[in-house]
Amino acid sequence: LDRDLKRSGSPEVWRLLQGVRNRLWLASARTAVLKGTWIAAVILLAAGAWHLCVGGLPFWPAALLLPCSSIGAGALFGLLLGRPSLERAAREADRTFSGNGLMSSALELMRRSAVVRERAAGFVLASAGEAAAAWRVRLRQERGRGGLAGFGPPLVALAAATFLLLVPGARESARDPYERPSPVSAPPPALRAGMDRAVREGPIRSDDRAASGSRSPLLVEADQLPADLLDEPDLGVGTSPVASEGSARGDDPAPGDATPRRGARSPAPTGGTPVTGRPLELARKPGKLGREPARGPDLPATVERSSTVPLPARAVGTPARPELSPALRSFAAAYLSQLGDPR
Amino acid sequence: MTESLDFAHEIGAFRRDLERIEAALTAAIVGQDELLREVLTAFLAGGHVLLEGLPGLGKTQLAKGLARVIGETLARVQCTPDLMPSDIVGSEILTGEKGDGARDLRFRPGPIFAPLVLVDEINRATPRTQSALLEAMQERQVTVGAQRRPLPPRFWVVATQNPIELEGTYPLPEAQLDRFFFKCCVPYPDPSALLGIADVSLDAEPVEGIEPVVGPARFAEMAELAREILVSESVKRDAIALVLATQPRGANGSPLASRYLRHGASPRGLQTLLRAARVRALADGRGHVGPDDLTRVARPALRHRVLLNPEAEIEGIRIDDVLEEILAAWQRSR
Repeated sequence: LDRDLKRSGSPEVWRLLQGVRNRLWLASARTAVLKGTWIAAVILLAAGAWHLCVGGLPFWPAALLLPCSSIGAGALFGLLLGRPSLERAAREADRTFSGNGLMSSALELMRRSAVVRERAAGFVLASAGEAAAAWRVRLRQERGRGGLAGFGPPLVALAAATFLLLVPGARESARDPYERPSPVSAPPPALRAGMDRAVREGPIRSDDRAASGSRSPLLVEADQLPADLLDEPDLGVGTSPVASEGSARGDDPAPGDATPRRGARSPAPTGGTPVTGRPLELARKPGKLGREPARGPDLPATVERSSTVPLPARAVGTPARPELSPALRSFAAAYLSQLGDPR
Repeated sequence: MTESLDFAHEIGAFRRDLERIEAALTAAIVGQDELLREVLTAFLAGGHVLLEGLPGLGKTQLAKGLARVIGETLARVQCTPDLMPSDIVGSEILTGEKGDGARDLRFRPGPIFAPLVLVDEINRATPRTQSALLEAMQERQVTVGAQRRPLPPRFWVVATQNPIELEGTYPLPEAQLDRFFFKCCVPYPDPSALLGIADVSLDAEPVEGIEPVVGPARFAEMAELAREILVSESVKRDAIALVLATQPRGANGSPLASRYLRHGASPRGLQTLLRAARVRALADGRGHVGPDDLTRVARPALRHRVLLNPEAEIEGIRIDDVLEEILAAWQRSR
């Protein structure tokens, strides 16, 4: 059909209509790609926001796949379905060059058989041919305008969304072992205060002072306390004012989370000797005192950890020497025997 | 190729003659160039014209000048409430008795049988008399008694009416209005045009000095050439869309039409649009009709075919305002 049209009409008109048609086609594809880019930008921005706030995107390049495919689909649809008809090309040519229906009329005449054409047909086709030759020159001059105009905002949005996806998200930050607080590193303040007092006011203190003025405070793991101490009937959560204070400050570890963390830092103690997450074995190694602590007869090699062990209220926070319970006394004796002190 | 060249020559000759006609008329009727163009368009398309304007703006002079410039005879009918239909179409009169005793009736044609009829102040005639023009304007024939009498092949009616005098007038019914090809509003001349009028009409009536520029036969050839102008399907669709946009009810009617119009343009309005657009295209030297031609002829072709509703009249909305909006919307939608 197109060959017939080309033969029956003015070649210049034919070339102009093809040129305008291709131009419209490209414009249609460009519009489709622009729409796809906007859709991609919106999807990626949403994915980036999700990644930052909630996390849990299994694999962020997968989030890129959908936007890229939407751009590609836009281009494909624009190319496949956006091919304009010759009538539309003729109308566009008339509109662009103020043809007042000249190309539409010429196209209609080209589609008619020469037998049924009116007397004006030859005149109209000749006029259209002359006009088409001039308009093709103008069309060539106008070609290339537009280009990437309009693509700026969606491309900027795409870049911003990609950046959002590249920064560590909420889930990745939480998984970082150096950032997550260890539950062991936050022992109950009551326990810390009680142990500190027991050690400071016991016989160790003077020995330590005699041995080295710069001795580090003793470090005791909360879960390394003897079981009978933990079973002390006076112990109870919230009975100690220090423990209450620590709980209020959020120093208590999460219940049930007993996973040890490497290099975990303990929070600032509320008073007394800080108790860190260092296991008991470390305390047995030669410390600054230069002595190998002997293993106590009643201390097991490994102790099952427990997370919260508050001390009785009478054990902490009192200026006078406190009355130690029998369990604490026995623990303190065992501990001192490990240090090799006969007293 | 030869045919195309011939057609081009004919178009050139048409334009030259039309320019001469316009020049002769504008020399006598000053400051009404657009009105003259509209009236000539209607004449070349074979249509009748209704001129509406205040007294003294040159409506009657325009009709006289047109008749002179194309070399046609002008018959004038001054409408009054006591004007009878027979005063327009003619009547059979008794001339005597035949030899066998039978009466001899002879038809005496009225002014309607002239090629160009000026019906002055048509809205002063009674509806009965106005209706006498219906058949003549549409079918180019009159029925007197039981006999049909055809009118001349070239037949134009130029009617005038005064828009402000309402007492003792009979507004034209819609059916009568629809018979007019164009309704042209005669504007008040601007100061420079008034100066020109003062110059040309100081000593005598300017139209009296107009000589025929083209003969009736040549004018008929010019009108015939306009019928050969190509109207493409897309232009027909555009014209249909414009007519449908004036319909207050219907899916294609514009919102303004729904609000302010009682009736939209008739299919005769569509015919008028296309025929008039052909003449305008030819006057521009083109062999095809374009959408711009439709735009130029839309106002005179449609303004008497759409009716305002009471709401528009209360709000003081004019028909031309509504048409302007409809045309703007139509151009945007193309």
